[in-house]
Amino acid sequence: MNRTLFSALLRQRLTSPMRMGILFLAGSSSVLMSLVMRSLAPIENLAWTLSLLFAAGAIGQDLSSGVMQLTFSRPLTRQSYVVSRWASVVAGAWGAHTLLVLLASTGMALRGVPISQIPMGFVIVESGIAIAATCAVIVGFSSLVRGLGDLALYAAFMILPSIVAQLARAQGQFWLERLCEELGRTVHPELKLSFLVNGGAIPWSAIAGWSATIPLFLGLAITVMNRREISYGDS
Amino acid sequence: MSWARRVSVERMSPCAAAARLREVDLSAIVVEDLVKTFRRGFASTSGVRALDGVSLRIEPGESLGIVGPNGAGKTTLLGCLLGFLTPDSGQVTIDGCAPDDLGVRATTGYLPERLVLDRWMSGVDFLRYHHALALQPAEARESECTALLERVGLEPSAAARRVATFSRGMLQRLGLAQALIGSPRRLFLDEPISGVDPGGVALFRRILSELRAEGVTLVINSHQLDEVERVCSRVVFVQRGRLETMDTAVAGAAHARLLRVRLGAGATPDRARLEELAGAMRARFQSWDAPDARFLVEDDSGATRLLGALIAAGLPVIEAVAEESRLERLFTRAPSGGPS
Repeated sequence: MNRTLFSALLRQRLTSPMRMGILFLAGSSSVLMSLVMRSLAPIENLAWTLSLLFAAGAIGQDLSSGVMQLTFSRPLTRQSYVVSRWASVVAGAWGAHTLLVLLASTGMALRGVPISQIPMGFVIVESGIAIAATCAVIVGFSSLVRGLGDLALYAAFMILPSIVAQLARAQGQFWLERLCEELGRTVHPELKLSFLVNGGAIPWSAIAGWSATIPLFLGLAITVMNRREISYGDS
Repeated sequence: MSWARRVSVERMSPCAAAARLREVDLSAIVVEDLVKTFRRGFASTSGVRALDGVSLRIEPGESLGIVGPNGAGKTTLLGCLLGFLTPDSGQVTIDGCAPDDLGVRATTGYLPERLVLDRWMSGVDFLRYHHALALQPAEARESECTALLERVGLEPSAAARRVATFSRGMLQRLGLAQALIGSPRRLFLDEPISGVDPGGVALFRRILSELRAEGVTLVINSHQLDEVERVCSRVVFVQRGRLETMDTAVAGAAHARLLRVRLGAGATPDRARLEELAGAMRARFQSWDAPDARFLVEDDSGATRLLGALIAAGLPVIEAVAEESRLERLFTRAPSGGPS
């Protein structure tokens, strides 16, 4: 990983008025809802939104703006570029999410909710797990399309498989239904850690799915970037 | 010591070190029979052949100009030299290594034609960012960036502004500053003075002369033929993906040029006399359009001989100007008929 790229992208994200505006709106409304509901559930759900907010255009915006020519004229491998972009957006999204969790937890504590009943640690770790995987998916898509086209691609991969799965179920095509479900899980992996405290079966399928998603999509991005030619056609 | 660190300290990649052991020609940029085709579509089998068997050798410390009409393949050639484009066949080696070798990149500077910088950064932040990407020592970052900004004539107050607010000329200066980071051994410059004001042009010219004197290899792609002629020791003409002509600027003096000679007021020379004087000096009389006479001379010394003969014949010569530079002459006389 390249620390210079990591910190530059993080700084760009944190100084982007558009992204910070959305973060403020989404974050403040979630914190308020948490305080009203006396639960961290609204903020827990924010992990996915923050992943999209920070990761959207992670590579595609460099492709469309044309800055890649100068970046890759430097002694820098494309693997390092991809991993740095991913790590940077994960750090940004997870950092912002953790901050919101801490804010909401402090607010709840001040409103008299016992600290022991606030599952802060779980929410932070689970959100980190979700953010890491979702950002990898977006970075993978971002290597394929310019600008913010990764969001459209992500939306298509979220919506289409569920529609096709329902149609397949109606038609009795169970193999297709299963295929679509797996595809949906791949782009939106979920791994809950409640089994660690509540007991029950270890969700091996979810663990395998989550741990496959990150190398799969980062591998996709690295492969695409290694094969990509950089020319003025990119700008 | 990490490999990346070794690159910055020793400025030689493992590839270059291995090449030296193999006694491969380290110093030159060698292009061998390069072919590059751009496909028209994803599944298309046809395409535009941008480079068609280009071979070229650039010696260390040489300053090479690449000229040619639009769409000739100049930028594609530069893209291959930088390792941004993968040729269909043929190869490029720099210091005996592939052009995308990290060691080669660590000693190469590049100024692209369409300069797109990270607009959200300030100018000085942009330089610091590239200084770090170029694996330059962090302790020297501030002093080197300040020195580079001074060298390209960017005021510290201007450099502190966001890149998005920079004028075209300022961007070009900042682009040159980033290309000079780490004192590269070779510089690839694509239209370096595009959009630069006259003062900036003079500054760029001075910097490029200094770099030449320091032994930096310069590869300049430009439409500004007079600038290429001033800076480069050799010029290649690219046309339809091929190197049509290769000549040195010094040898370029051996090519014919059009000389306009202005005579003093009231001079009405006889055409036959002008033709006779020109013929005696191995020049050719072209036209008389008072007060200017035009001659085609074969080289610099031919121009001197002709002017001497005109003055000796009592003609009131008050001005003599080459109407076409050597390169313009070469350009319009390219074998395949460059644009006129």
